[in-house]
Amino acid sequence: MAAATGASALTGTFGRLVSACRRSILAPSGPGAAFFWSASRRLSSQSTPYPQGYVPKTSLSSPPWPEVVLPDPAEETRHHTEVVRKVNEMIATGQYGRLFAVVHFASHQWKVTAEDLILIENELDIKCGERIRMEKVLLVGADNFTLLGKPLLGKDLVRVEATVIEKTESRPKIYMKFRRRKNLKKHRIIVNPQTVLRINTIEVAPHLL
Amino acid sequence: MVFLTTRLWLRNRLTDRYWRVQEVLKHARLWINRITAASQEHGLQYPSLIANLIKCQVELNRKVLADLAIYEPKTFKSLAALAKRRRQEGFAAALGDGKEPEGIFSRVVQYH
Repeated sequence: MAAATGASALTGTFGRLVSACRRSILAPSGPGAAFFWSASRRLSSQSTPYPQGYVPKTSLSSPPWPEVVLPDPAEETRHHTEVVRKVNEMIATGQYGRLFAVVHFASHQWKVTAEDLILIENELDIKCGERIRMEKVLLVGADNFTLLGKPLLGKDLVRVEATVIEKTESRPKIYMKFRRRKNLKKHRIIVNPQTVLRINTIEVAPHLL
Repeated sequence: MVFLTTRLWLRNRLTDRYWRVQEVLKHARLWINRITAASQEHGLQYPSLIANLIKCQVELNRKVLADLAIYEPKTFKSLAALAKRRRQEGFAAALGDGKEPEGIFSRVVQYH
């Protein structure tokens, strides 16, 4: 019993000593640590050589946002000129069906095609039946291409024509204020002038750069 | 005055101008919801789409954007792609070289 305990005690102490030595060998502290690790990596020829700047993947090894690589600028310019040339060709040969446009008119933006009716809530001081050209065009599109303006498209590129069809008044709207027991009562009837326009045509010209 | 329901009583208490403003805002909220839904289909968020379109000098208002999202899906897809690209370019410009200023400790730990 005594011998067994003695042996176990010896092994226990010996084991602790060995483990302490192993710990001290395996984890050298201080600035020599990196040099030690890189030396061991260089010495062990069987391990695969890591590329320069390799960082093992941890939660802090790369930024938390997804990495985005923008395309090469020269190749992109080539692609853009190609697209512009194709769209120009399509417009020149007339390979489009119905065109739609976004027009800024009377302080509103309207999405408009040919044969559309527009109701404007004010008077335009134009006689009925006169033809108008709308100059502030923000966007023109067909089935296969869209032309966006920054913010407006050029006048040599698009032409939107409309005719004044009708000049009328809105329905009488009642504007009333009443406050009980305060002798406050106002009664007013508001009738707004209105104009109805019909969009005749939208035309595009192949003047893209 | 006699009000037969609480809704009618409330309508009398608030001003008419409030209700007229609410009518306009109702339209605006509908357009914003529609544009949000359409931009989510293309993997973008509404504030990001609007901000990046403005930065690209495309001054389309919400009414027209909602109409394009419904009736011109291809055009809306191209607008979403434009906004997405402008967003990425903005991030790239903000990040710069990728090097951090000296003496600053940030989340990304550099190994030596």
